[in-house]
Amino acid sequence: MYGRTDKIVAVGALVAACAVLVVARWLTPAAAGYGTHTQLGLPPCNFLRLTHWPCPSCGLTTCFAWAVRLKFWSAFKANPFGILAFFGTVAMIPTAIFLLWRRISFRRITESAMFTKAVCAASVLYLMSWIFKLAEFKALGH
Amino acid sequence: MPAQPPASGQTPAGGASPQPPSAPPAQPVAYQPLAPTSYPPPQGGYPPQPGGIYPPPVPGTKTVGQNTKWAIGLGIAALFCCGPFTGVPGFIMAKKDMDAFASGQAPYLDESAAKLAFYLNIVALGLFVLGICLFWGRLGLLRRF
Repeated sequence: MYGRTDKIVAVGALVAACAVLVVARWLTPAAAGYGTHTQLGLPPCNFLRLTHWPCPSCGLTTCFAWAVRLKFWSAFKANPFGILAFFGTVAMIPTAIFLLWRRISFRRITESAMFTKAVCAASVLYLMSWIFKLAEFKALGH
Repeated sequence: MPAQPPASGQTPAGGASPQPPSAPPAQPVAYQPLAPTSYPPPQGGYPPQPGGIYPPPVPGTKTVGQNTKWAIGLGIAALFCCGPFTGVPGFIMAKKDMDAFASGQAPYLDESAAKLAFYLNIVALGLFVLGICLFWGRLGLLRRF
């Protein structure tokens, strides 16, 4: 049953995906490979501040800022998982338009077994990306 | 000349004394299949099958769903460092198990664990938003004074 909530969710996802890409284009990627989000007025990473090690999300904004400029190698070095998240965000735009056009609920995606597998796979990749980031951090002697 | 094998009914050593008649052969034992209840079900019920399909439940047992387990892990990650990146997927995963329980599709799921994961992710997302608001508030105060 396609309802008003489904339409709001689809429009929200479409607007959010577009906004993320526009903001990423507007930002200047930080040279350090992390901390680009502070240009948005957001606080610096507390995990990094307290432990002196990057958190799994460190470098995601920088990665997006590089990826929208089609500098994928720099984006990968900033955060490997960010590349996947970037393509997921890009894919969200046609997906949301298709769901709006065909009046399909987002629940059909989130309630499928494939979604569970995708989240599990993404979590594992996220963890691997963090390990890569920690190793890079140590190698660069930050 | 090669040795000939003994013919049927002859003794191999060519013995002269005949053997006494032996006891009658035993009756073959009929095959009896094992009872189906030979092995008890494992503690805590059977684990869920991959792909989100759960097997028929063992009566009286509650299972923590796979989605709930992932949601708890993602919620803990969201609480400590990852914020919305793991909080939102964790929220959706916990909601899936809660909906499955509420609709009666999976009454054997542990609803309390699913609720715990659900609220854990909400708290993590709330703390993330609160942290940003506090930071912005502090910036505003710093600019004012």
